[in-house]
Amino acid sequence: MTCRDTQRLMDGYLDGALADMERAVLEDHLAACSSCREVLAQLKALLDEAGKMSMTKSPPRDLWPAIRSRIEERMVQTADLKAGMRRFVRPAYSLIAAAAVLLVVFASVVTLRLSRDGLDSLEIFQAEWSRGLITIAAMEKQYAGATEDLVSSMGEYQESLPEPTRKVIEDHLQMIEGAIEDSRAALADNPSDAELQSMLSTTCHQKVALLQWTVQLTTQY
Amino acid sequence: MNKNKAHKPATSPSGDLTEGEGADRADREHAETLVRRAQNGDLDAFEALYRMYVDRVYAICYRLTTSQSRTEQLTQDVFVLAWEKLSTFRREAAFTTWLHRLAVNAVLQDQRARRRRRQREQVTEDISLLAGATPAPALESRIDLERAIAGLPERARTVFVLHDIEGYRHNEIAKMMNTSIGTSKAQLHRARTLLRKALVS
Repeated sequence: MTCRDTQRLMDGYLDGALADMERAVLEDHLAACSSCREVLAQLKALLDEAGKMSMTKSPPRDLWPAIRSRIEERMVQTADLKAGMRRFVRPAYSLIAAAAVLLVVFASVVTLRLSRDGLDSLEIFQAEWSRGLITIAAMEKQYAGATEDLVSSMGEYQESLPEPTRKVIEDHLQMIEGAIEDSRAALADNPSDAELQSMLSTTCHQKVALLQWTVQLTTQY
Repeated sequence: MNKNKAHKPATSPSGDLTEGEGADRADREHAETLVRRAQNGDLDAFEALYRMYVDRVYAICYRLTTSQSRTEQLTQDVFVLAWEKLSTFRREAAFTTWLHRLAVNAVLQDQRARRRRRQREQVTEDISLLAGATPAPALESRIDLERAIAGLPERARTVFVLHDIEGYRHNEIAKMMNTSIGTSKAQLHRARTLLRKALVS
């Protein structure tokens, strides 16, 4: 065994992770090699010193006021978001119920301009993001592209929708866009926050779903 | 974490912040009470937990980042995150172990983000041993060792701190760093070799 081989094994030796055979070979070499014994003694001294290092260190200033302020800010944001989502979810149910009636009535003549495929492909991007394969920004870009396509598909047909329906859709879109903006702003402060990323992803998805449904609705007027 | 190492850090390798060795049963029960109250939204109880554990969280963040400003920011991030995730904490593990893992993950995530930014800027990450502004110091004191550790390349430093100071096993480190056990061992070997050379220089 060379000195180089021996020194490679020293980590495992010091950590008690060598097999009996490896340890015996290494110890044979050490018995005959003073320079490797010296290296081992130096490593042992280093690890002894590292083991004595303090496990605590006081911050130079009190960090609690800043932490408390951030927590309280989050609590307010969460409460606002929950209130916003409650406002959205309730009317959304009535909207979906109305849509169901309309779809049944016009089922025989409706040709849906967009199939569910569009949303499915976005869900693939969402899955890729959740597995860490693409960034939140890349996923958001996909949603932005889909949003643009849908708005363009709607075009002037949106005008054909009854005024009350259009108003409800616009209100919902505004709320979702508000939630998207809030998530983006919060993410700007804390870009790695997984829950904020998830919230942004969810709200983007809701926006596309609502737009897609609206496009489908416009085909019936 | 490594409970059976031949060379053990002087403090508990379990990853417990203070419960492993210093804190007695009464302290642990007190911490558990505070955790329960904090889980019910009691911010004052959470402040008490902060006061109990901030020095430990600050120390691990500081050793891994070597920057005071980043350490302050990360320590804040860890406690804000801990507050947000308190509902997910189950008492099978010690609160201190859970908090410690949050801190390590926060630092590693920060390092990954910084590494990606540096890659975009086409700056090579792999700096040479102790290539900071100051020359390699002789390791005559623990302060010198702190300085030498701070001068290690980032990944080598991270593995050294987690393995030789904090007592994590290679399989745990590999999982946390999204790397292989072999890479973790190689980085530890690199760190120890560099530090040993600094020790005798």
